[in-house]
Amino acid sequence: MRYDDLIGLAFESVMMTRFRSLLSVLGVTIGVAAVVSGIILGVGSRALVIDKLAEGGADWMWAFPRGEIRKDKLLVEPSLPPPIKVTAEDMEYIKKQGTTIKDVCAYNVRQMIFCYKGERHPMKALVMTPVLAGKDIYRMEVVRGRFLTEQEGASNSRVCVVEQSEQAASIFGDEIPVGDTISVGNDDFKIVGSIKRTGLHLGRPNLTIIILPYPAMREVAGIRDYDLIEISIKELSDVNKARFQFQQVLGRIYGWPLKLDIREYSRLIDSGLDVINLVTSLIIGIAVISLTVGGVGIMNVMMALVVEQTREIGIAKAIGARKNSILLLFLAEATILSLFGGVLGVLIGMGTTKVVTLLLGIPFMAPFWVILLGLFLSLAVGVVSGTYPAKRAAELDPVVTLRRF
Amino acid sequence: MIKLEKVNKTYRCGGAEVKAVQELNLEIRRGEFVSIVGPSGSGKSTLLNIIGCLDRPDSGKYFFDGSDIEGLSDDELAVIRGFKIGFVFQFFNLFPRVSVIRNLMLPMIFAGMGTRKHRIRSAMKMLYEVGVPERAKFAATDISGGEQQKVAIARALMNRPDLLLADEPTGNLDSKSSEKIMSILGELNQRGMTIIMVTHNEELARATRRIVSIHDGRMIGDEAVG
Repeated sequence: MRYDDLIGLAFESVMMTRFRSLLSVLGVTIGVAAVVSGIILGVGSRALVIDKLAEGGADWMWAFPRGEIRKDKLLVEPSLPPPIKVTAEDMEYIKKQGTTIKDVCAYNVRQMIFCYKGERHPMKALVMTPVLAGKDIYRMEVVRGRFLTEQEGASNSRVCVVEQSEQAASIFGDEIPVGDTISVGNDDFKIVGSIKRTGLHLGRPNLTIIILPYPAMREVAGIRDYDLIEISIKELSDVNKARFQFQQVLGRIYGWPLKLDIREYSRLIDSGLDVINLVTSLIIGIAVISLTVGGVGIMNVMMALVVEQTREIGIAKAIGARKNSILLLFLAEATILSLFGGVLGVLIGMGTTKVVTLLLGIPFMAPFWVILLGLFLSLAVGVVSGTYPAKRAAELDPVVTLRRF
Repeated sequence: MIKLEKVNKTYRCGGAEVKAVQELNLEIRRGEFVSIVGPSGSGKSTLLNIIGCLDRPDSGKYFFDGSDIEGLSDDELAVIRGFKIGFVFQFFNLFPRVSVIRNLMLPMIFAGMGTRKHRIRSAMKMLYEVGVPERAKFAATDISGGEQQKVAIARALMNRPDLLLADEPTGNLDSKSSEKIMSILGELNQRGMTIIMVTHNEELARATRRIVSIHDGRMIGDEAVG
């Protein structure tokens, strides 16, 4: 028996009992719909969470060496990490070696007293190398004027950028006066622009951040070398690989053994994803149950069909049908039924999910493999639940099935 | 063409053993028209099932076309049933709910033969031969008993078998239809078809060329007619 005939006959048989077929696939339909919607919702809300956290800086990681702090040379509190000596070349090297690393910068931040129009204000002086990478990592946006250029950041130029904060508003008024100067001790710095932070880094904005060129601050305020090296990573999923690369590269620069404390922000994501995973597994659980019920339903219908068609099976054998043909015929019928339920399930699942995502504001992300998975699951249910009835049909003795009639 | 040597077949029926066929020897040559007669329960249907490769003997040898059935697999028997043997049953045994022409196409479908066009052409040709071409599109159960049996004969002939087996082919028909069926069978035999027919109607048996009598599973008579 040829396969095109096999499928044709099985299809005919399904069509003959249309209503019953429709009822019997309901379980599979619900199961597949649950799988499809569960995965689409899971993927969508995952993307949403990652997106929200990445906006806040989940792709961010920092490292500081935890070497022994020599007490005789201690200039800062023991709780602070020892200073790191890095150059712009080091940063370039890290970026080049770390394939998962998007941006890298070293930074130091210190609370200092700035003078503006004769009044003294405590603010945070921030130095970064290279400055533009830092700007990206911290997700700073220029509000007015401009940011420091790379050259300014690496030179002794007396320019600075001021954060637009509540404190800044109380000092400078509603707008940061670009072009004015503020001073540290006796040295004047020209304000070239104002920025705002969009990420979660650098703590709560209780004090205004002022970004200044490192060489200038070293000379003017004696800011020592950097505290931390920070990176942002290209793909959030590469967190572990990035951490490893980061460590390796730092080790190569500063020599082993190097005690590093690496922290990452992405831990936040995990807790967010935990909730989503829980919900997703719940839906998948429902899916498994309804697929099982659906499988039993199809098996039931197929068993009934075998009993009903006992005589036809006998005739088919008498006119030359092989055991295998009968087996495949019933298996094909079960599979067609189940696959039909699967197609229906995919459509219903996608449809309801589309509505739900619109209502909840979750992105509707239906990867192609979800459709394939839904169809595959229904196919598998059909094969599994069809095998036993098909075997029963194939094993029927034609003499016995024909004798009674 | 057919040779049975000391064939036995026993059934278990409600705890009791029924010896349906006992030590039976029978040889049928190509082109014969044989009727197997005997009262009901005499084992003639069982004998026909064995000859038709639907059943296997418990002991003894059965040669079909020279090959020993014992050594053949179930699938090989199915191929023999599909290509070399045609069955006609007392209750017609057409597939209900399926059209007449579709019924005729099924033997070719199970045998994996022909294109759709080819199958339809063969089926229509067969329907002309048995005289009911106008019933092609009817559901198998929507035509009269006589017509159903004609269709059943046509279906049995679809794969050009060497042997036609008929189990009480007229048992469920009125006398006029019976006559018609018998004349079709006679005509087929004249064209060279080997036919074995089971019946308990002596008069019908007289229309064949050889009568084999069975009683309690044993052969009690074997006579040529005419």
